[in-house]
Amino acid sequence: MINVLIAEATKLRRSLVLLVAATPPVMVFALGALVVASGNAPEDWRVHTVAGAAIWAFFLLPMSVIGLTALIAQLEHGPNTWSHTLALPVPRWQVFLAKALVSLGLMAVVSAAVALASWTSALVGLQLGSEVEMAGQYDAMLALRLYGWMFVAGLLVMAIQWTLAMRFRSFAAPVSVGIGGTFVAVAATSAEKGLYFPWLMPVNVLASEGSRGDLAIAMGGIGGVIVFALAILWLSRRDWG
Amino acid sequence: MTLPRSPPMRPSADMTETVLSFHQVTQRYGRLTALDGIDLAIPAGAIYGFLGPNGAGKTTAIRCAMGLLRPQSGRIRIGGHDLARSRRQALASVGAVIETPALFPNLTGRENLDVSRRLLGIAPALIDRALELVDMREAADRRVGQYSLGMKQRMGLARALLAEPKLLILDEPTNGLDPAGIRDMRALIRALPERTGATIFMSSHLLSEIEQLASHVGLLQKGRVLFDGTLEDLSRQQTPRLILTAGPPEQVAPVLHAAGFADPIREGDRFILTDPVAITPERAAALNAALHDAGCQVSELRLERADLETTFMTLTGHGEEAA
Repeated sequence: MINVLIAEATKLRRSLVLLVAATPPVMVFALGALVVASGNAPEDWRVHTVAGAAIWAFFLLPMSVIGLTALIAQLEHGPNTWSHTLALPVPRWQVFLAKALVSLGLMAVVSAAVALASWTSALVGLQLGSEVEMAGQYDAMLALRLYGWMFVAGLLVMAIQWTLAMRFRSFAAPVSVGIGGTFVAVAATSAEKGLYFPWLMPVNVLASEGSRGDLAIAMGGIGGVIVFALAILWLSRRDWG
Repeated sequence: MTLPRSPPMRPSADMTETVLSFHQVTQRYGRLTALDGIDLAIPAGAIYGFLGPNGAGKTTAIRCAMGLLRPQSGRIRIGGHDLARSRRQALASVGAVIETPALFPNLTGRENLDVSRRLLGIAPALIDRALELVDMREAADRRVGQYSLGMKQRMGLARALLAEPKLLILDEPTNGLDPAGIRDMRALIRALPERTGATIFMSSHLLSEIEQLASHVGLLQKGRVLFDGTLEDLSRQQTPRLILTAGPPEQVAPVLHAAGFADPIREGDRFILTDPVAITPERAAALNAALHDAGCQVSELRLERADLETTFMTLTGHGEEAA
């Protein structure tokens, strides 16, 4: 299984996937530094950390999931290498599990990079801007908790997007579902039933009611694991004609 | 149209071990029957040419043999293993280049082979051996995206040879190559059984290619096997014909009629004689004597066996495009 995992990770070399993975942290860093340096800094570090996490949960996380899962799948769809990969004497579930783990690993790295970018953007902004101050201190544990739980709550969206991207040769299916889901999430943020909408689960981690966040983490996490497992099973067993 | 179905012919006696076999394999896509109970036997050591018109079911058969499609009925055995029951053991002895050489363009040739090597769980040293076999060592560290189609085909072949397979499946291996690339690829394929010990099962839309490379041939049409056997057996299935150039035509025609060639094809003073019963050298000699006695001037009289294209057209029943 380790060899299969390394093989899947090797496929990312010099690919567009890595470039797209670098985009969210760069965007968060640039935006954060500009906002702080221009004198519009949040009043304290806590607000800055939560604001960065909110941008991530609302918009950048679902967009990153769409882009990364689609591009990882296109590494096989594009040159039509499925026929080769799936005709090897390797258990197919291992191939798909490795692909899922690589996708999740990359999303985890991007999450961590965005958290880091949010923090460093404020540090740079404070240096660049004159007479700019933020009260308190940076709370690394808060950032770790927020981004970590958002990752868990986002597992269901990741599983849905990953399954669509692997199944369909065209970009259209995963991208349209992903963009649709993101926009519906924005519109339904405060809706009561929005709690059960997968694209809103990472956002609900920030909810002021603790129970709403806990439920989002539980549903997103458990649902994601179940959907990933079912998708791996299904993709392994279907014909690839 | 219902086509005559020839009984599948068995491989020659010196190739008794069967590396790949299809037993009554049927594959349907909805109402379309792509493979209709096909039987094929690919003997060890052969270069087996797999021919058929577009849509005959060749690629479907190859995809079934690679485990990418599961037939609705029938059995496929590879190296003695039932593909449906022991997929991994069966595919362990197979290398394949299916359709276009599908490689990762962002990786170098060597990295592409390394990905497959890791998935196969084999030693890194086998990468250099495979590159050597296809003469791609020098280009191995360049990105595949910079390769020509011929180089991609070679690298695809190297990847297929990586695990030292007993059976090499090649789907249209010269498709899209320029004449020089086709020549090089054919030379490579021709040399492979001796250099690697692999049996080769290749589909092609070029009848002449199969005629040049293959020792055995399978003809498929509308999902049915029309022929499965050696090229010699196939050639023997085709009735030979006499090519006669003689004149004057008015004198030649009655002689031919009297000799039993009732319906010759005439092109000027050239006659193509076929006979459903038999055309033998003795009969040709007798015809020559009769023409001479009748005062005809014979400038050409030769016995001709049909080439693969003619045989193929005859077996498939019409002049449909062969591909």
